[in-house]
Formats: sequence, structure tokens, C-alpha cells
Amino acid sequence: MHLWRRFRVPIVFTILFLLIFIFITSSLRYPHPLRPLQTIVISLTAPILKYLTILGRSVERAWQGYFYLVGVQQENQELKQRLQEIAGKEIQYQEARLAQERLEQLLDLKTQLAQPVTGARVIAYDPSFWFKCAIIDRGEAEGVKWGMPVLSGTGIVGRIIESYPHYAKVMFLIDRNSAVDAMIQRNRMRGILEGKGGNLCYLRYIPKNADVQPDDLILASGLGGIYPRGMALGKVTKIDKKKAGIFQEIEVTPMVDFANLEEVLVVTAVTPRLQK
Amino acid sequence: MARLILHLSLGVTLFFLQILLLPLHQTRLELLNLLVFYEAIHPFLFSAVFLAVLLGLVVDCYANGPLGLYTGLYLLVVILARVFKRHLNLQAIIPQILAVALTLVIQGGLELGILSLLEPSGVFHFQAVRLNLEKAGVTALLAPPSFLLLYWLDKTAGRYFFDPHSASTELDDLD
Repeated sequence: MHLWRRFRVPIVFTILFLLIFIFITSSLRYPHPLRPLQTIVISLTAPILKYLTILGRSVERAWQGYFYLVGVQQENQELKQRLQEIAGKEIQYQEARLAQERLEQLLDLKTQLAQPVTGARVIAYDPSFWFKCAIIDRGEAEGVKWGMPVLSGTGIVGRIIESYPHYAKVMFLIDRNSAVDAMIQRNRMRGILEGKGGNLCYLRYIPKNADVQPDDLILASGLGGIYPRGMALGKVTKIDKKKAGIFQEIEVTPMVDFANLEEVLVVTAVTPRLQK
Repeated sequence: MARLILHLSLGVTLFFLQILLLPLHQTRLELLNLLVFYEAIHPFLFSAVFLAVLLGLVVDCYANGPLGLYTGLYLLVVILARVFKRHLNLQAIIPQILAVALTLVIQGGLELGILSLLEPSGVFHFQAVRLNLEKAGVTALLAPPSFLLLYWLDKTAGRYFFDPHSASTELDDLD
């Protein structure tokens, strides 16, 4: 009893760290045994995040709309009341037009793909420093499963890495764990596009004698069996041939603006790779 | 208990703030770490551990890392905060900044170390170290006003929801 009183803090911390060690090692397997716990936490917190995101975006747009009209209000005091009415309608109209443009883009993409897809909204981003992923409001109930590619109007976003009853986790192309079989559009040279973090990717395994230019478009080769062939991944922004080794270092900026992602499409077609 | 619930609610609010309002590519402030550190330098070790485990678990669920990584890292903040509390005068601003900065640097270093072990490609490079130091520095500079704010919140809430004597928030009450 005396020993317990004296050493209880170190004992409690040791037990906690042992538990965490077991958690970490068991979560490295897929599917990891602690997934139900993760499902409960996400299912409890994601709905709040969803409504907070919607609220936040509405406030942001209303604020931007207000700024846009401040000059006009100052110019003409007599029309202030009228302008405020119009401002409200303008915000609604702009919101509807922007949404229409985004949805048209996604619809075009859906037609091009000729594969079953489901639309989803991004409701939260990864809170950690090193990983880049997001939570979307579609899950197993809507047919969203592990490995399915996620696209936006401008290009490939990433793929599903966890699927919960009504939510799913998307790993972005820029995540350090992401790797995509890619090719350079101009010369069809193939490489692996790896996430670098910080909104950038690297195109690896391109020999130093290959002709790569800045602004070259990088596409999915389709050979990985996950992403549709020919979908845009990004553009070459920096090439370094001075480093040691047989390959050049190519920095790629993704086509997708991950910080302002709102709607995405999940390709729900089950490919042979996903069936495995 | 009421104090713990208050801090837990604040933690969840900060978590939402951290993932909704702080954009993806900007420097992240480690607001949750500040809250855990503040809780840990107060006499209630149980509530600090509970807060660290619960908030760590939520962050782990949303992060694309091994489950338990952030829970462990938040617990490390509790331990380091208790150690610094013994050796530094955390009443003063400079030691506060120093303690938080050191805690975050050690935590970040360990995080990078674990991730480097788990990832074959590794994340341990110059840019990662720079980002880690930047994150630690910015967060540490925010520590004194954040702690003052938390202290004020505890004091105000203490008047209405819990006995301020049983749940003293004075920094000089620390052992």
C-alpha cells in the first residue's frame, strides 16, 4: 500500500504508455481491431463538424458579400436600404451560381467518367500536423468503401482510407502516405507521385535524361488500379537534376486546391483491385 | 468535476477551431497542447491525464496516423509540464514561454522520430524540423495570454459553477 502511494503516478503513466504502445502496434494492421472505437468517435463528432462547417461557410460568404458592397453603400446613401435588399439577394445568387458552376464541373466529370459516382461534401480537415486528409459526409451506407478514388472538378483529390456508417476519411494526394502511378502527359513518361505534405507532391523514379519541363501536366496512368486513367493530378513546378542518384527530383503542385475543397465525387465502381 | 467538464468542452471547441478555422497549409497553432499544458501545471493530475487521453483520442481518430500516437504525445505534454513546473517558476512569462517551447520541441521531435520509424520514406528532414520549431515557437509565444485567459475563465466559472477553493486555479497553489 505504501509502495503504491509512493509510485502510483509512475505506475499509472507506465500502464498508459504500455496501452498506447499496444494501440499503435495494433492499429498498424488493416483493418485494425480498434476501428469500432474510431467509428464511435467520428460518428459522434462529425455531425457537429458538418453543421459548423455549413454555418462557417455561410458566415464567410455573407461577410465577403458585405465587403463587396461597402463602397456602393457609401456612394449612395439614398439607395442604402435598397442596396441592402439587393445585397442579400446578391449573396444568395452568387452562392447559387458558384454552387451551380461547381456542380456543373462535377456533372461534366461524372459524364466523362461513365462510372457510378456519389457526390459528397468535405466537412472537416485532419487536425494533425503531418497528415493530410479530410472527412466527407458519405459513408458505407451510401456505398463508399475503402480504396475508392475521390475526385473534384479540377482533378484527383485522393482516396478513401476509412469508411464509417455515414462518413468516410479521404487521404489527399499530398499526404506522405499517398503514392499514385502517374505519367507526364507530354512524353508519357511514367513515375510514382508521392505526397510531400505542405500542398506539394514529388514525382519519383523519372530518370535524369528524361525531358521534363515546368508546367508539364501530370496525369494518372490508371495502372495502379484505383484512379481513372487520364485524370489530372498536378503540374510540374520545380525540377532538380543536381542531386545524386539516377533519378531527377520533380516537385508537383496538385491541380486541386485542398484548402478550399467543398464538394467532391467518390467513384463508387468496385474495381478488381478494390475487390481484392 | 465541473472544472473538468468545462475544460473538456473547451478542448472540444478548440479541436473544432483547429480543424475548421485554421487553414490547411498555414502554420498550425497547437491550441490543444496549450490547454493540456495548462491543466497539467495545476494540482489536478487526474483531470490533466483524463483531458490528454480524451482529446488525444479524438485527434487520433481524425488524423491519418496510428491510433494512440497523439494520445501518447498529449500524455507526454502532461509529464513534461509537471517536470518543468518543479524546475521553473511558471508564474513568470519568460519561463512559461520557455517551458511550452521546450515541451513542444520535445513532443515534435518524438512525433517525428516515431513517424520516421513507421514510415519507410521517413518524414525526418530539414523542412519538417523547421516547421516543428516554427510551430513550437508560435504556440509558446501565445502561451502567457492563453494561460491568463484560461485562468480568468476558471475564476469566472468557479464563481458560478464550482467551489473556487476546492478547485483553486491560482498558479502559486502548485506543489
